[in-house]
Amino acid sequence: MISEQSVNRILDAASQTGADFAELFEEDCERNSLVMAGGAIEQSVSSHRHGAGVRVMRGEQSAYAYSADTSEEALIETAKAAAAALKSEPMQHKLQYMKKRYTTPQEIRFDSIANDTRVQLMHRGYAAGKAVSEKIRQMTVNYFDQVQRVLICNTEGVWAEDERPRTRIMFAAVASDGTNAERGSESPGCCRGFEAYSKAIDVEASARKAAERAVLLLSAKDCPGGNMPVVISGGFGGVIFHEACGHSLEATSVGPGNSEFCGKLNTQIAAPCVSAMDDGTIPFEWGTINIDDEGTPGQRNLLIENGILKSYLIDRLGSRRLHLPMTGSSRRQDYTYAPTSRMTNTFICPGKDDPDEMIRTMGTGLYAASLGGGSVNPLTGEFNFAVGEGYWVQDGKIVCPVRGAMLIGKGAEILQRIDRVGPSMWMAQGMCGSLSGSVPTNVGQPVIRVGSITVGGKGGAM
Amino acid sequence: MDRKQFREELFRISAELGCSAAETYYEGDEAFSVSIREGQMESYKVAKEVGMSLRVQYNGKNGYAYTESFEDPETLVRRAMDNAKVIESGDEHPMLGAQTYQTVEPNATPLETLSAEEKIAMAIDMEQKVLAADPRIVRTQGSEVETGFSRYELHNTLGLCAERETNSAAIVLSAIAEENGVVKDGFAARLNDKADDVKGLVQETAEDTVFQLSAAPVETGTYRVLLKNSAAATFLSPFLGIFSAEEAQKGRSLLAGKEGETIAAECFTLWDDPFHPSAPRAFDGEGYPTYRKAIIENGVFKTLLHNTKTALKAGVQSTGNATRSVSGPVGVGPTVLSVQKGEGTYEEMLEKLGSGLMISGFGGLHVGMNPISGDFSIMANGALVENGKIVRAVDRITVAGNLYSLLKDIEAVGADSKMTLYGPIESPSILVRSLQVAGK
Repeated sequence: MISEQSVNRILDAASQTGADFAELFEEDCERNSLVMAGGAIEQSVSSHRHGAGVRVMRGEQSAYAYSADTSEEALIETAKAAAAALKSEPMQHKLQYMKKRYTTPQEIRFDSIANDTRVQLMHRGYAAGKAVSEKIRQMTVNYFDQVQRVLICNTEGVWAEDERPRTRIMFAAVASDGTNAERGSESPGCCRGFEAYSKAIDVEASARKAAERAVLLLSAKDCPGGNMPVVISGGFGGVIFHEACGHSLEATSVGPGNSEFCGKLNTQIAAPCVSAMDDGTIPFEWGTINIDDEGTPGQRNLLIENGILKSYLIDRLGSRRLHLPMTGSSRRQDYTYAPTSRMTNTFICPGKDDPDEMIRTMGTGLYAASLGGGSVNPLTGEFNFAVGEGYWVQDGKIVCPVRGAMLIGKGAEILQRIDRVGPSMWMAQGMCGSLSGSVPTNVGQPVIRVGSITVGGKGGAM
Repeated sequence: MDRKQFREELFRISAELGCSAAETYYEGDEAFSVSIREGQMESYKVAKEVGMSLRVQYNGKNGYAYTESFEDPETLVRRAMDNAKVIESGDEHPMLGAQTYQTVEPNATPLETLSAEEKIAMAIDMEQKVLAADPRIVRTQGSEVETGFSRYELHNTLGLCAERETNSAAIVLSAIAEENGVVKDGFAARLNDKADDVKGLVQETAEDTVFQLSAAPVETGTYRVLLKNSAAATFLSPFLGIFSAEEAQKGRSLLAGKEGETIAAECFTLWDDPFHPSAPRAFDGEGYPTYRKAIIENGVFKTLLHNTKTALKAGVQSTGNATRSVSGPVGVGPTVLSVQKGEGTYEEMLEKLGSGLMISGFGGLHVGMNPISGDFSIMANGALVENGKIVRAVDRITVAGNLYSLLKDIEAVGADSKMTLYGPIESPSILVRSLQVAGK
C-alpha cells in the first residue's frame, strides 16, 4: 500500500485547482473463479486487480480519475487529471490522519487452500443437484472467492484500511422433458473465509433447490396476465422492496430531485404495516461492510417505520446536495468507479400476519414463491421483476405452478398496497448494478401480500 | 517492468516450468467522460486501465491468470498452471500459430481531436439545446460526452501476433419532461461515427421524452406489434447465447442440431459482421481470422458460432467468433450482429401494422427473458396505433411470448436500421403478427 508521504503529495496535487475535498482509493484484489459444467471443471481463472483512483470535490462538483499504475508519479498524474476538471485557486489542506484498520475474521483464508478443495466442494453440489431427477440435463456450478484490500484516505483525516473476503457458489440447473427446457438457480454467498461452506452455506441443499425448481417448471402452465393480488415469499422476494423503493431512496436519485420520494421524509409513503431497514452491520452477510468505500463505518439505517419515511441512503456527494448526514452507504464495484450511494442488506422488517391466511383470503391471484432479478426507473418509480417459481391461486387455494410471470408497477403505489406482512424475515444474495458498478447486496423480507399488481404473462384464462 | 519485457518473462518462465505453450492477451484502455446537469459538471472521469491475461497449455489443459500489475511474472505463471491442473473437462483447446489477416483501418470518431474543454463545452451545449427544444422539458438527468481508445495485443509462443486498436465515442442525453404533475424521462444516444450528430440527438431525446407524458396502459389482450428499430435490436440482445456452439454443446440452446432448418420467417436474415464500420476487426479473441456470415438466411438457420474449441468438438472449422476479455477465458460470441434491411420507412411500417401496438422501448429487459426456452415477458412502452397512425403513448404494459414463435411470426422487416447501445446489434423495425399484452 502507498506510504503516508506519497499520499500527502497525491492529495496535495489533487487540491491545486480548488478542491475543497480530495480522496485516494487504492485497491488490491485477488480472486479465484472456477466453472464446472457436465460434472467436470472446465474453467479456472485467477485474477489480480490492482489500481487506485483519486476523487476531487468542490461544492457539489466532483471529478474522478484512476490508473492501474500505483506508483507515486502515476498517481500524481492521476490526481492532476481529476483536478483539471476544477478551475479555482489551490486549496491548502492540513493533512493529519486518524488511522484505522478493519478486517473481517477469516478462519480459513482463501490463499491457504488448494484449488482441489474448491473443486471438491463444487463436485458435492453438482452430485446433489444432478441426483434430484433424471430430467436434469445440465447443471452448471460457478464458484468464486476473493479478498479485496483497500486503503481510503482523504483531506478530512480519514485513513482507513480494510480487508474484505467474499465467496459465492452459484448453481444453475436446466431440466428438460424432451420438448421443453426450464431453468432453476440458487446462489448463496457471504463475507467470510472458506469456512463459509461449513458454517453458513449448505451446498447440497442449494443445488437441490435449483434442480427442483427447474423440474417443477416443466409442469408449469404459462401464467395469465392482468391485475391481481400477489403473495410474495420471503428471502429473494425482497427484491420487490429493493426495486420498488430502495433505489429511489439512494441520494443518487434523491439529491438531484429525480426520485418519487424526494421531499417525503417523515411522511407516509407505505402502508402502516411496512417497516424497512438497510443494515450494513450484520456479521458475515453478503451485503455487509466494515466501512463503506469512503471510509465511513457501516450503519443500521431505519428507512421506513410503520409506513413513514425515516431516512435516505446518503454518500458524501449526496450529503452535500441534501444537507443531511452520510449514512455509511457509499459503495463501488472497484477502483474503476467513483463511489455513490448504494444499498447493503436491505429488508422489510417482520410483521404479524399469518402466511396461510394471506393465501386463503386472497381470492384469485399469484403466489410468487421465488423471484428472479428486477429493475427500476427511480424517477417514475416504474419497476419490474420476474417470478422464478410461481403458483396460480384460485379461491384461496394453490392450483398449479405457473411460469413466465412478470410483475410491474410503480413503487409508491405498490408500497401503499402491501396489506399483509408475515412474522419471520429471511434474506437472499444478489448483485446490484447501478452508477458505481455491480456491488453485492442482500435483499430480504417476510412473506407479504400486495393487494393488486400488474402481472405480465402469455397464458390464457386458467 | 514494461509489458513487452513482462510478456517475454512470462513466456520464458512458462517454458521452464514445463508448459507446452503460453499466450498473452493484453488490453489497454484510455477513457474520458463528462456529464453536465443544470449547467454544472456532475461527473468527470479520466481512466487509464491495463491488464494482461496469461493462458498456458499444461498437460493438454488450459489455465488462465490475470493481472493489472506487471511486476511478478513467476507468480502469474504458477497461478495459471495451478488452474490448468484442476481442469477435468476433456475438451481440447489448442492455441493458434501465426496467421495472416486482412488490413483493417481503426475506426475514426468525430470526437477524437476535441480537447477536454471542448468536450465539456459540447455537453453544456447539448443540455441547453434539449432544454430549449420543448417547454415541457424541465431539466436533464445528464448530458454526457464520452471518448475511449483501446489497444488489444495477442501473442503466443507458437508465433501468433495479432494487434489492433479501436476508438469509441458516445454522446448521451437524458431529459425529464413534466406536465400536469406527470413526470417522464427519456434518453437517446449517438455512437462512434455518429457521435457528432447533436441535432439528431437533441430532437430524438426531446420528442421521445415529451411523447411519453400522455402514456397510459392499454387493455390486456393480444395485439399486432411493430418493434421499432432500436427496440427490435435491444430485444435480440439477451438471446445472443442461443447462437453459441458452446451453449448448444452444453444443452442450453434449442438451436443445437437445427442447422438447415427453417426457424424464422423468410423475410428475416441475420448477419454476423466483423467488418461492420462501427467496430471492424480482422481477428477474433484467439487470433482466428474473422469473416462475414449469415446466421439466419431467409429464415433458414445456417450456422452456430464457433471458436476453435467448440469447432474441434463439433468437427467443423472455427467461424472466427472467439471472445476474449482480460479477466476471463476464451469464449464464444457474435462480433457485430445486423438484421438485414427489408423495405419500407418507419412510417410505412406503421401503415403495414394497421392497428396494434408500436413498441419503442423495454424496461429491465434482462429480467424477463428465459434464453433457454425463449419465453419472455417484459415491461415495455410505445404507442397505440390505429389505421397506420399513432393515437397515443402507452406505458406500464408487459409483452409476452416466445422468441422462436416470434421469429416465425415476423410479417415484415423495414429498411430503417439502427444500432442499439446494448449490442453491438443493429436492426430495422420488425412487424410481428401477435404478442400477448398485459395492461389494464
